[in-house]
Amino acid sequence: MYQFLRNKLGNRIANALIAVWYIVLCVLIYYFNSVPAGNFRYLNY
Amino acid sequence: MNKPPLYLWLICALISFSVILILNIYSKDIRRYFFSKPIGIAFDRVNEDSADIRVLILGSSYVREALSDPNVMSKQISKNDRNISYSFVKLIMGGAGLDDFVDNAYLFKKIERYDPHYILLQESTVFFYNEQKIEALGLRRDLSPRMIRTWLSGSRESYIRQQSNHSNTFINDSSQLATDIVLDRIVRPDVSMLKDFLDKIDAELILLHIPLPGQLESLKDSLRNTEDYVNNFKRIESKSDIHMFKYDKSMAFKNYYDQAHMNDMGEKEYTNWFLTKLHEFHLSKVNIQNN
Amino acid sequence: MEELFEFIGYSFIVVLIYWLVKDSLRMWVIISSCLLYVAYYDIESFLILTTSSLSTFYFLRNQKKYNYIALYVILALVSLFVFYKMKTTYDQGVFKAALPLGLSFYLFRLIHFAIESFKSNTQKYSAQDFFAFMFYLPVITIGPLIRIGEWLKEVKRKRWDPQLFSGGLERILYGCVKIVIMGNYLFTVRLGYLISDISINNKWLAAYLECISYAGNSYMQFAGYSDIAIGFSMLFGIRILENFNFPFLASNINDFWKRWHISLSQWCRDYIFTPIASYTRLPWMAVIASMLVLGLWHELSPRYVIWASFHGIGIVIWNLYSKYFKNQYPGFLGKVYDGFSMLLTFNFVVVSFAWIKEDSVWDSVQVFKTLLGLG
Repeated sequence: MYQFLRNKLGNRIANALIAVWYIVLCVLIYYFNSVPAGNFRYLNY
Repeated sequence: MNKPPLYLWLICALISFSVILILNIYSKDIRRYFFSKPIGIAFDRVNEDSADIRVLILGSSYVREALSDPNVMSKQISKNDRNISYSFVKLIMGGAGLDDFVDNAYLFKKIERYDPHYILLQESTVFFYNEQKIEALGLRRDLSPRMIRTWLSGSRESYIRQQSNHSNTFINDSSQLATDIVLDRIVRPDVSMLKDFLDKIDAELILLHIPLPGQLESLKDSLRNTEDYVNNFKRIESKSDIHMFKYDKSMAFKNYYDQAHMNDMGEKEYTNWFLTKLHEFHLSKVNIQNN
Repeated sequence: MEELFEFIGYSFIVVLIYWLVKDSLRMWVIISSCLLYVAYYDIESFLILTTSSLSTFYFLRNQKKYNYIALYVILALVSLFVFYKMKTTYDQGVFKAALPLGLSFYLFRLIHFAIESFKSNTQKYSAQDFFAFMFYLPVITIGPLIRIGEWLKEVKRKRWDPQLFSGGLERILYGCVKIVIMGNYLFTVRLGYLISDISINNKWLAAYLECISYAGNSYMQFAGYSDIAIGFSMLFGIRILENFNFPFLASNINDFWKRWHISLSQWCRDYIFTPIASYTRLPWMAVIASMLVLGLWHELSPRYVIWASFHGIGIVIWNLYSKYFKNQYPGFLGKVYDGFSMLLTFNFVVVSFAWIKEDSVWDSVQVFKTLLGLG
């Protein structure tokens, strides 16, 4: 994806876009991290 | 180069961290901003002069689901006794704690104008609404991810499903439930806050107990050491003019759609109980004054 | 979720130390950090892990052609595996989660090592190689089942590469997204609400969507954890094998098992399927046997036996079918055929999860009844 953006939009815009994308993901992970994990039992294998 | 350079990751980490921090710190103000609109709407609805007794109900979504709409309640209570007319204002703030109400100047301006006889406050907003982990961070209480999730999804239930005859019920798993309702060191600061609240209002304050389903209510009792709790409350009651409407019966699970929010059947049952209780309370008070 | 974020935080610290020390110490950083992690998390797991690894290595260190001690070691490891799985699977009808941390993974790694030792392929590995392989932090909890040969080749190639590091960070981020947002939130919570809304009016659709929810969540969780393991491995400068390759796009059930939990199915192929097929000359029996091992690896219970047999029979039928009928449709018709087979495989897999998503076989039968329109 990064490669694609760089080719299409140039270095700076690609960097900015990808940074925004990662930040959005980080914030979403933070907000959703207390949702219980359904059927899957971590550390149980 | 098909992956972003490393400095970009550093920038992302820093910005994400600050975004989360800022959102957490200001989430209270953001909440208040959104809360001011329902306040306006709720008070604009009632006609100030029409009713003899004015009742204001403050609480979280528990109250929203447990009590019927204000005009429905007015009609219902007038069926029982035609001599007195009541008007209700129901103010709901999702996931509210007492501090949400106490610090709100706009709310008190509105209360002053409405001049209620009784203010009913959801009991759990005073006594056990708290998230321990967040407290441990030393940050504000309502930075909880759960809170924000509530905005995003409009719900906070999870996932052990319980089938009942009438409706699907969602119940939190017990470990999560335990962190929700553990009550230990938080009582004291909130009681002082209650005092602040009392100082600001010129009305009778009644704490309104919204029951959890029977089994969970007993679990809660086992967690918070009910005896201490009752003693604590009696002390407060003797020193101040606070009363409490405690729902003593056990609510069946079929009256809930998740672990704490009632469905329409629960709402009917609870509203009936509440209106009778309120009316009785009012009559006894009038009797005392007459004597 | 806290365990996951603890693991991630801890691993980042280890990565930092790893790149700060000199090259000869790096493997020891990983080994000691892994031991520390397991010991901190659960001391019983730590004891089992260390004793089983040490004794395996001790017994197998002197190797001759056909090392028969290896057979006893394998037997001991298998019985250890069965013992812990039996002990924790069911206790008076209640599921108990007291399995030592990562036991299924490291015991299978040990068995792999013992089998390789029996084939006398392990003389060239030193103690450091072996312990680094056993106590490799990224895969210790839930990571792919790595193989010592391929893994050591990658270890020799390890070096600081910003591109690889950046890729690793991206993998970890996407892994968390898969677990937290896609798996937990979308597949469990949102889809769960939808199911509960429609379950009164449309039982069939609700049952079907529940299967999809279970399958989707399992995939997202497992793929997410694998992503995190692979990502951290990349942060250490070491590439390890992929575990998932878009399994729900598989065009047949055989293909599905080449895309789902690849490391385990390859393990079963190499150590169960191939020997049985070459001794008995009965491929169908080998397929069923390896599917049974694969199923029982998850949990020793009747529902997994049924689930594994269901898949095994599916694979056998597919093999018979592909022997006599071949996709020879050209152009558009061929594409329609591909799409149809993909849809069929998807539904076969999704429905098969009904066997393991309920607590008892009887409940699963009820689900199948609903799906078939009988109940």
